[in-house]
Amino acid sequence: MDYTTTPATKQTIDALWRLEKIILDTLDFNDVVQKIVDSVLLELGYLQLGHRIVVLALLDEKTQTLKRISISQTDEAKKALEVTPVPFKELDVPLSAVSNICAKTVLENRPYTTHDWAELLCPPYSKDQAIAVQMVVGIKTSMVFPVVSKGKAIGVLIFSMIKGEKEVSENEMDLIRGFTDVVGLAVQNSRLYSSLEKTTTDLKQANIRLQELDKLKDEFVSLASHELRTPMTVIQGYAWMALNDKEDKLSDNNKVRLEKVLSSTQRLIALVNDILDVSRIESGMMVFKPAEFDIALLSDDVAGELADKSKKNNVILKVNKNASYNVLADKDKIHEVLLNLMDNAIKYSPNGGEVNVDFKVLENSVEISVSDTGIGITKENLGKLFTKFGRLESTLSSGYKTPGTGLGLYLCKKIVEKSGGQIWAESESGKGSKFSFSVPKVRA
Amino acid sequence: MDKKKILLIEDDTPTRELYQEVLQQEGFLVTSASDGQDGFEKAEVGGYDLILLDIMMPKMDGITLLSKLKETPPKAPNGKILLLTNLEHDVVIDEGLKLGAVAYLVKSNSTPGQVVEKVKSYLV
Repeated sequence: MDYTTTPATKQTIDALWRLEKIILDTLDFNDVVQKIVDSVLLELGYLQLGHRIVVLALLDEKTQTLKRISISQTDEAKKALEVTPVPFKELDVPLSAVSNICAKTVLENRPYTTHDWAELLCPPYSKDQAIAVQMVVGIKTSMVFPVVSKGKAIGVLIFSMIKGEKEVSENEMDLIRGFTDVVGLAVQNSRLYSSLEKTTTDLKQANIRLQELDKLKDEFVSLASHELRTPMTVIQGYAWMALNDKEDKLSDNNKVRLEKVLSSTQRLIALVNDILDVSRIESGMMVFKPAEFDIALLSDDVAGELADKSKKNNVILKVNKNASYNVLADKDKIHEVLLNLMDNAIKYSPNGGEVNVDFKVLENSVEISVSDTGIGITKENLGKLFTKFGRLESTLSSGYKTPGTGLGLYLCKKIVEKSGGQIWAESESGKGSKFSFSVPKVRA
Repeated sequence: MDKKKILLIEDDTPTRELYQEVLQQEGFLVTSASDGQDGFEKAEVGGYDLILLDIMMPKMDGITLLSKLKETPPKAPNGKILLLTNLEHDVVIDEGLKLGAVAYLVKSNSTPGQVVEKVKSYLV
């Protein structure tokens, strides 16, 4: 198709549309800049119109230098590349070089035309070098257009031809101007795309690295807790044996001291256990094996385990059941939750207090609540309850003999959520607290 | 009545000595092994009323020991096998239970009294 002999505007628009499609369909930056300089000459046949070389140079914001990015794959361009005293990629023009029309085009954001390559290539060429190369390549006229993005010149497009500018038709000019307008957009697009691609790759790599680190952390926590538990087991064991030795009686003072050794060791073991549990539940290593069981019966079992403690603290512990409440969950894990909540309730109840465990059957779940008659929790503190190490700093937890690990309720929340339920707390300062959680019901 | 014979396979010396002492106090005849290989050789001879078997051990771990014991039955039969662990990896424990252990005991969560209770409950 020959667009030049037909001055119709429609054909110019068609050609422009084709060019736009070629460069806007391309996303990779390097592909785009090559297509920009080739498409007018090779796709539209502008070679026949005397056009020979197209060069794209873009502004490097940091150094305020115009850097040549791509050059058309034409015979004249090859010739120029063979004889150039400075490699193509190093043909940089600082914006401060005001005699260079490329710099001027960017600074003034308007096109320039020249017949003298010294104006185009000095610096970095010397005047003699510029003339020599222009002679070899045989270029008569070079037109420099600004490449504009968001109203600002971000580079130039140089059209070099073997004819005078007067021989450039209206259609040619229209097309070149229209094309140059789109080039700014295409460059911007592909820059965004390429930087997005790079960011994506970087993020992917960072993510892989994080996963590796996370795995290492889990392995470390697992191994460290095993190594810690071994000597703690021995300390606990011998303290227990000394306290329970029927033949070799301890003095009262030493008995009290050894009891403290034992309880502190057990606290340490509990902390290590909780840390390991947190690590396992967070890394997905904790396996949940749901099965059907009566949660009221399980609550009875837990109350039995805590009987000594509630007696010692003079707290009445009541499991109020009048039916069986069958749920579907991992029994051992729910056991942990019940133990934690009931143990807390006893711990925070005053002498002579009462702890009640109640059940409510809902449509899809059973709701279990553990309420105490303790001093309650303030509104601000309610929000911190289920967070990691969310033990409350107020008077609430001070003064109690056996501080927890600060991980118990966090673990409860994780376990309940993994089991398909929810956990929450209600309280009024001074009027006790009520901790509730739901567990999926067995479908009839 | 003859003393019940217990084989205690545990690599950590203080832990092994602790359990040995508490079990002997209870009147059991305790034979101990300090690694998996030693434990396997003793279990292979057999004749124990109960075996306490640690999982993480040098030379041969408890799980390997169990599967080897399944392949080569002991010359004299043994009683039940109880796993000792401090690393509660559900998967590993499940495998141990599949390979013939009857129960497991988390060492750090048990006082010597609870260990004795558990041992007695499996010695019928």
